[in-house]
Amino acid sequence: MLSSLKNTLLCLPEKDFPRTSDKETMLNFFMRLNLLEELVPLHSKSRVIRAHREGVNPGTSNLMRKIGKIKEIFVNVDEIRAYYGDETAIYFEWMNYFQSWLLIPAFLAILVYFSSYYFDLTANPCAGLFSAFMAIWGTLYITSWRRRTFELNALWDDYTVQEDIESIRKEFYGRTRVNQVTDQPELYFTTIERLPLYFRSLCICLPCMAAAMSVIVAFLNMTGVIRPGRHAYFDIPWLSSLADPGEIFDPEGYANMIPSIAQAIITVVMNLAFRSVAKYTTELENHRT
Amino acid sequence: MFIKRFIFEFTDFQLYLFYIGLYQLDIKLLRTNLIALFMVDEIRRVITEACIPWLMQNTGKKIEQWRNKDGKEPEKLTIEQEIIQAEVEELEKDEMELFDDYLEMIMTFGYITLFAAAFPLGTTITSLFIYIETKSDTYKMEALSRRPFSRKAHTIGVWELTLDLFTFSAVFTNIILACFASD
Repeated sequence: MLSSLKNTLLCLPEKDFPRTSDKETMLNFFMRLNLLEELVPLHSKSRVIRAHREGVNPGTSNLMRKIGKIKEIFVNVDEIRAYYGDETAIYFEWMNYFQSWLLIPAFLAILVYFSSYYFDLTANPCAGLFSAFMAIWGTLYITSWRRRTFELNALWDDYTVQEDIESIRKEFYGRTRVNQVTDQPELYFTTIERLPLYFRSLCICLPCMAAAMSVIVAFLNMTGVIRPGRHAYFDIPWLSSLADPGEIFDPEGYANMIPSIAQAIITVVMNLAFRSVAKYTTELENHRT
Repeated sequence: MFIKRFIFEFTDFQLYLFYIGLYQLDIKLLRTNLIALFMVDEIRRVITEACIPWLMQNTGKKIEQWRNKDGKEPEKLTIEQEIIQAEVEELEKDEMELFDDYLEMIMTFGYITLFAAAFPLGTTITSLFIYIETKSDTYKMEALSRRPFSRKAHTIGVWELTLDLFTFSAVFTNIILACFASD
């Protein structure tokens, strides 16, 4: 694909496919003639060949067998980085780091759990200590993760990284101007031009969020968290009356589980719906990358 | 995009916890809610991320096989044909997106730091969940989605901001929970 296309070029009529030089690669040739729509990397080819040679199922790759071992707590980031690149590897690196830091409070939490046999929940001194510890732990975790990222910056040779041309979105539009530093033409879209677009997505998103809030309030009424009298602002009488003692969603009874489960399911559905809303509005905002 | 989804998920999952914890100062209720949330969240994650795409792909294949049965037996493919077939199949798969995975992990980080006093065992459970999550993510990447472009990166980008936000507010929520909600 990347090799020079001397022979291939000769097959095409020169009138329709003008040539520049003999050394032009196929990829550049396609790009120049606007024949290239999208580049997509794939895993399949090498896998199928290997599966053929070794007689294994092509679904299970070598990498999967290396990184997907059950007994290993941490993911082998180097393997992932070698195959998938930095952007995927950093996610797993972060997960590993999170996991290794979590082991400390995870162990402490078990101790706190056992201590709760001796103390009441609201009067347990260990829980108080634990929460103080977690607050400090969080801060320490972030600081040390930041150190780690600088380390990775050096380890992964990242300090020369610049925004490359491929990362600009296909749908991006704007005026063309000449960059004064590099003298290269570039597409250009100012933040002020984008402001009305931001406003439009705000108008779309706010009602969604308001709807989500009201659904939550309704459910809190039904589960009996919001009681009439105590919280006058959010009370919806006919819903909260369902949670009165003796009614169907009595907090002491088992039927109280129904709205809790329904709430969990509906939040998931709402999130899925909002994901597409967010994606749509962000596309309208015409970001560069 | 990032801000919108973050705020939305935040209102959805955490605002009412704040309400219960900080306004009503009812630590027992907060605890039961947290436990329910943890369980539902993780089960949903595994199901939506790995099980459903796997099922959809497999049923698709099954239907195709069943259709092919009416005709003649599928011919033995040469290696070139097999490669092309695998490539076409892979092109139909979804693109890899780590956005949701990040969002979920950050939300869990939020639960365990913001409401540590209410449910200490949450950290232990999270630790287990991360283990499951990494396994399901690697499986998802390998088998269920297209191979992603490799790009350079050495930070987790904008997510670091949310981590900052959570740890900063965690100090205050924990103080409030420890001082007022306990006797």
